[in-house]
Amino acid sequence: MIRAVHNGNRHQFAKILDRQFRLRHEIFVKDRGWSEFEIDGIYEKDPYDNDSTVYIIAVDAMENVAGGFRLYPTVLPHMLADQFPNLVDRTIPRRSDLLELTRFGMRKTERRSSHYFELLIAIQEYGLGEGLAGYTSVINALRIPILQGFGFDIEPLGLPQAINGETIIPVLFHVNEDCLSRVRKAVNIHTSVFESAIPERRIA
Amino acid sequence: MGSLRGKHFRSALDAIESIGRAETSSSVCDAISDLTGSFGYNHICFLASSGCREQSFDEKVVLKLWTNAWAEQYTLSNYYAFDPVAPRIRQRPESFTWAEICPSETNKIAKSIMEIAATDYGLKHGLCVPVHGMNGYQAGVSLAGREVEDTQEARAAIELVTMFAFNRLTIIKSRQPASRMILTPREREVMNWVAAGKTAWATSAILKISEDTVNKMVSTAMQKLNVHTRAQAVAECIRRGEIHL
Repeated sequence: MIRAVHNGNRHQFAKILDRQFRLRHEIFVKDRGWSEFEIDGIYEKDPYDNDSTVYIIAVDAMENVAGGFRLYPTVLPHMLADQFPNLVDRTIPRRSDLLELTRFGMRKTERRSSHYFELLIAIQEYGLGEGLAGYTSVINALRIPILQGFGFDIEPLGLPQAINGETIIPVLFHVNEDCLSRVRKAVNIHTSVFESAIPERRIA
Repeated sequence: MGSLRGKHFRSALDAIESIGRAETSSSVCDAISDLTGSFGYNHICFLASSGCREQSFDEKVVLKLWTNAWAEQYTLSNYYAFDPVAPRIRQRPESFTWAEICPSETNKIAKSIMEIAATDYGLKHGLCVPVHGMNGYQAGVSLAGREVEDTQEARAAIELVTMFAFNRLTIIKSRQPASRMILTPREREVMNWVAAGKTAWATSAILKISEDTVNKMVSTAMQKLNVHTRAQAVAECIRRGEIHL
């Protein structure tokens, strides 16, 4: 099941938000070795974790967090514009209907689980619910065929570049009904992955 | 943006746009070969896995624009068995040039294949771009030319466009009706007798060919139909309308 946690409901979902930050520490600081993001040994957090952030979190019935990702407004200073402008070979998109998608990570044991598939659906479902046109993101270029296989419509924002031994590329994931149907068909989930209607977001 | 990267990015976007509009596999092929051709790779070969390891090279090649002479020599001399390029496409998702996987001095056969390609056929420089999807190795593009642009940017553009080309090819293929006939008339004839319950020996007597030939045809039919048993082959033939009981 997927939960959308933001400024308007963060107190209600404090427990899964806490677990999500701890999981991010495990995945990004410990497993992937991003030591520059080590702050207190418990959480992984950076300046883009604030009142404007939305967390899409996959949880089980016991509220354990299996994985998730983070969304941030592109109309505010964001990662792609601030940290990776050199990756983009056209104008950096900044629109109120585009969010930046970062920190997509799964617990090691959940890598190809139903939680993963639900998160893929959530990308489209949440986007449609919020009236988004898409998401910008920096991804490993080799993931493009995999994501296209799941039905995603990907627009490149620059050429792939090798950075620190990995080939990465900025992309725009389109959000539309066709994409949602293709992803539903690919992962065989035909119901909403969110518990109930996405709660109204209070403007930060 | 006057940089090389900006220029090649725009060429890649143009190719991706053409690919997005393509309704046939040959239009996809045209779009990507226009781009690779602009970098000096005027020979292009598309490879696609159909999940069957034992297939001959010929059947794996989806769209072939190698020079015919090279393709002939490649098949006749069974280069596929010794070509250092072929297995590498399956093993790793990263692109590689032929120079990067130059066979060691001890692997004389592999070295001489590369030399023959270069001197006799103008295939001096090569670049291979594998495409690994959800289930591992899916497809790849093998490019070659006499004089090529060997920059990071050109390679990145080719890698990017290759992924979009194969995605589009997969979509186009999935839209084709499954009833397209893929067996030869002879193979269909043999499968008809298999469906009727005849042994390979009986079939060989009926058709006046060797038992070995019958078995080989059934094998080939099974590979084309992507099945693992004769029973599945019969079922698949009926489903596709290749044979009727």
